[in-house]
Order: sequence, then structure tokens, then C-alpha cells
Amino acid sequence: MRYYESLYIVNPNYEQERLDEVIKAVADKSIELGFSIINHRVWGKKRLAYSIEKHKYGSFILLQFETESITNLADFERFMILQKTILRNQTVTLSVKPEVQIEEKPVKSVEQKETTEDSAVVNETKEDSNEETNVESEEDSKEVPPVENEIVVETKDASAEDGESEEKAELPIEEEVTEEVTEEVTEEVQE
Amino acid sequence: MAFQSRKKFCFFKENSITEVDYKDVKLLKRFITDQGKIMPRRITGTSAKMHRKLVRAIKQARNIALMPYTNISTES
Repeated sequence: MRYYESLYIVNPNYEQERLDEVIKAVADKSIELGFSIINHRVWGKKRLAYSIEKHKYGSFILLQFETESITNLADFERFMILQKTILRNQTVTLSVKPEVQIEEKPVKSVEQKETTEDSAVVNETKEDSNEETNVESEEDSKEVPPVENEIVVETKDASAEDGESEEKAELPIEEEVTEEVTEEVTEEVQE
Repeated sequence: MAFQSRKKFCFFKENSITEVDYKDVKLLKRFITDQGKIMPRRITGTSAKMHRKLVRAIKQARNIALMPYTNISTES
């Protein structure tokens, strides 16, 4: 078995769907010719060292495969040249068997999509519940201000850590508050 | 006082690199001039065996537009 590597440049203006079509066409042709594909992945959109057909950028796609017959390679080369979507291609021999690279990105994207869908469903349910009962929405609006107060308190604490003078400035305020509270309590007791 | 030139060494032998990949443009750019010409091994100090592999890799990179044939037209 001999190992080969084919790097081809696709028109950079193509969207992902059309790019996938080109990749699928090349993969189908290579399987038809009896190649066993090891890796077939998008290398990325790169700036070309010189413009090809007035394109300054190109989407590079890497295909690594193994085959025994050399005659099929000529057919593959001809197929690649005849494709209008492929700007340039080059097939080279590999001395060592390439490592199979597992793509993790698509799996992550699928998971993200699922999570977004779930969150969308949750939002829809929330909207429904809000439409049914306006009272709940009023309660939510009431619940919002305390959160802001908490944030303000945290920021004050953070700013207090920066300088000792600020701590000193805050201390009298806290004392005033405690005094007010004690006064209210005494008034209630008197009543 | 006699001028002593720096001792040349093969970059690939020092870093124990046996194969030159045409996709590794960062490595290949070390061995071309500002104009884009391949530097002779009397300047770079690469061994004859590795220089042959290097030249092939640079030419393959040029063919697939990863490296320029020349930088003269692009600069202007």
C-alpha cells in the first residue's frame, strides 16, 4: 500500500453547504476509484501567496488516502483538474502512514445546538407562563431590585478592599444604620 | 587579526528533523530570501541530503500557493 496526500483549494466565497458538496464529490470519486480515505478535513481559509483566478484567499482541504494502483491516480488528477470549483490541487506521496485525526469540533457544535434548543424551549415555557398570569410577572419585577442592591454592596466591598480610607468612610454609615434600627426598635417597644 | 566566520551547521540535523513537510511554511520561510529565492546551502549550511528534500518541499509549497514564486510583484 502507498499513502498519498492531496491538498486542494476551493473557491473561498462558497458557503459551508456548498463546500460540503465539493468535499462529498471528491470523497465519492476517490471511493469510486478504490481509494481508502484516511483523513479528509478542511485545513482552513488561508491567504494565497499569489492570486489564482483573481482570488486572494482560498479554502484549503486536505485529503489523505491509500491505494495500490497508480493508474487510478491519473484519473483522480484529471477529475480534480476538470472541477471548476477547485482552483488548484496537488497530490504528493507520503513515506509514512498518516495518523487518523478525529475531528472534535462538529461534536461540540452539535452539543451547543442542543443546549441552545433546550434553552429556547425553556424560554418559550417561561413566556407562556408569563402570559397566563400577569401577577407572576409583577412579582418578578419586584424581585429584580434586590439583586441590583446586592451587586452594589459587592462593588462597595470590592472598592473597600482597595483602600483603607474608604473603609473608614464606610464605617460611620454602618454605625448610622445600626443607630436608626435601634431607634425604630425602641419606638416599637414604647408603643 | 584574522576574521573568523561563524561555524555553519545543518538546521535539520541539529533539530533531528528527517522529513520536510511542504505545509510547514514557517519552517520553509527560514530558507528563502526576501525576494523568495531558495538560499544556497553554502549559506544556510544544510546537508546535501536535507537540502534536496527542502528544495522539493519549497517547490511543492509554491505550486499550491502557500509560498510565493517571487516577492517582487507583490511588494509593488
